[in-house]
Amino acid sequence: MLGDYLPILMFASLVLLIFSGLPVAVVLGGISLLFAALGLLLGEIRFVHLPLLVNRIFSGVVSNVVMVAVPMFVVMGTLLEKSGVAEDLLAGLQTLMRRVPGGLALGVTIMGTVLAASTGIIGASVAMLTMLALPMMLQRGYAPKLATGTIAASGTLGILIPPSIMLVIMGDLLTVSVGKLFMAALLPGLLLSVLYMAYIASVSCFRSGMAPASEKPLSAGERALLLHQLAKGFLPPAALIFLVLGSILAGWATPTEAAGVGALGALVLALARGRLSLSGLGQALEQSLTTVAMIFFIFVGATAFSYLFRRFGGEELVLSFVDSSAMGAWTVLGALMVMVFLLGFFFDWIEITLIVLPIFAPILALLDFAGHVDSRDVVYWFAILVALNLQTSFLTPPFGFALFYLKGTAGERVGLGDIYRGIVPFVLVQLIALVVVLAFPEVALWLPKVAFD
Amino acid sequence: MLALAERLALPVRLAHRVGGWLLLVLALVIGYDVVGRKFFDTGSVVLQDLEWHLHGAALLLGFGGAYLKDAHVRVDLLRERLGMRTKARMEVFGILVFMIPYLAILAFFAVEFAVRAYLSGEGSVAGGGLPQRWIIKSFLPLGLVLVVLSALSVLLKCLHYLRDGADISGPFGSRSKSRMTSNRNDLSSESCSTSLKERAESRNQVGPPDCDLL
Repeated sequence: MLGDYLPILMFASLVLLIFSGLPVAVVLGGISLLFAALGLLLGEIRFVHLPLLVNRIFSGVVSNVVMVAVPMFVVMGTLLEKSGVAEDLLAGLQTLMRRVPGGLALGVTIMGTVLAASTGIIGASVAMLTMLALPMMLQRGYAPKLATGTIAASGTLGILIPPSIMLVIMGDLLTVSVGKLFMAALLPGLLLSVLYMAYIASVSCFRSGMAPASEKPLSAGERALLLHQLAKGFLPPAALIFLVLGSILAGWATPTEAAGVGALGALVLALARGRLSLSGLGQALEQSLTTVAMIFFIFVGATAFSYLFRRFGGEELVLSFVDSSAMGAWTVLGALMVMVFLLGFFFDWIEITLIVLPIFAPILALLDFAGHVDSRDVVYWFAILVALNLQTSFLTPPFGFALFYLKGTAGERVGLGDIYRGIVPFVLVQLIALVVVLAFPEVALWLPKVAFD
Repeated sequence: MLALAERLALPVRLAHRVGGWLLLVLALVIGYDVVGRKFFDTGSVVLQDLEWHLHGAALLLGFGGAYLKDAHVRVDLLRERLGMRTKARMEVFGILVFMIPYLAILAFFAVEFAVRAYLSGEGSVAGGGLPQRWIIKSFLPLGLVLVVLSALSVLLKCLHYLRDGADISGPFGSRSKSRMTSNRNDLSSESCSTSLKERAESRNQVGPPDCDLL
């Protein structure tokens, strides 16, 4: 009967219509409406089921204590950005590392790590790094492909390194502890950052044409300026980020509490630096709300979609498919990974986590990696793998998300060809990190285990 | 037509601004709550309830404004290549067939949802929390109606564009550039909507990057 195929049809029409370029939330809602009508006609659902959708949306989007962390992290990131710490930070790092081969590129990676820890928003980090660092690097004679590769890769660190908004949302969808997820993400994130730097350093040493170091020694005045820049640009945000992350990782505050206090801290920082007027604050708040609304509006659509998908028996369909195919746990994991990777070409993490996770999360419970990963920890391991995977996918030509942002912000200064060539080594580094976490789950699971057990 | 579109957008923008300040209130409440709980042992269920109330109210007030700013995520891989008129037609189709019916039905159920909470005198689940659950529940229909208003506003602008051609500021934005210097609002010179790349480029000319591009 047609009724049995409703979940498949739903998914197919989503795949098709999402390319219409209409807002994803609207596409999700429209499809839900269409299939609700169809389901009523075919007797697959009854009218009383529909008002329940509102309850779902209310409890998922509004009365959800975990999600309160999301707007607060966004406010914190926006205010930090407005306070102009990023410029000071880069200027300081540039002077500090002027004698080191590839010093500026290393500075960008460090900054990407700091930005990642503070905002976790890809488009913003990449655009900001491009604007601040690209002209400087090109002017100093860096090869365009090294410059762009460094920027795109460093700017995407944010989805993995806590406090990542994606991890908050994943934690909620998979109903696991966000604090524990943050902890699981910390070492893999730092591992990536270190691997990036190792690559940059070795390239700069062996092929000095790609990253020339400055020969000029520092004068005493410049030295004083440097210390001043570092103290002003590096210490305050570093202290704030350390405070926010530290209190979550130490189990002293929930992510929501830490995020709220972090937002206040960023506000104080911005005010102290004299960079924020009242109207500027209003702007920053509205801008934050726009970001938050964008994330949660997809939530509203996705809730409707996955509610109907389940009502139509989509979940059983997916599970029975996995069951009947008699695939091993590793094959299923591999298939999910390939799927997430491919989706990452076209979609941002928001759509992927909000649409794909609710549909495929039940499969996770079936997976048995006995001897490799403890069954309680599979969810955490999986979440980190997805995050790493997405990050790779954002960087992969020709459709990498981060690459588009970079090209869009850089304009004519660099060619798409340079960007594509430049990112390849970083994608390889990503793959190494992914394989490391696949092969040695302890990289992700050790820290939460030590902290919680 | 454009004047009407502006009038429809007015309450949406106002709500968006109020929602923005609610985020600051939320941060302050969390700060107060944390200090109280960690240092003075005074944490309360009321404050915890208040936190998600503020979060929920802020984002429900923000949905419509985000659509006016064209901030909602699109997959514009194919859309990028379309002409401006085709984009406007698609938007009209999307608003009429998908957006307004879906939101209107949802809003209808949401009104019922809030009224039920009011009639039954629903309060906090936890006990000792905020009473009068109907207040926050009424933000749900309110937020949805605001999105419908923003959709109508954009619809009118698209129709106007399709009828009169290029001479408009574009459905997504018609405010002065001076007020919002580094925001997506600066799409005013572009038309019905913009692609990812165009957005990034327009930001490039405008000032420092925002956090509102995900």
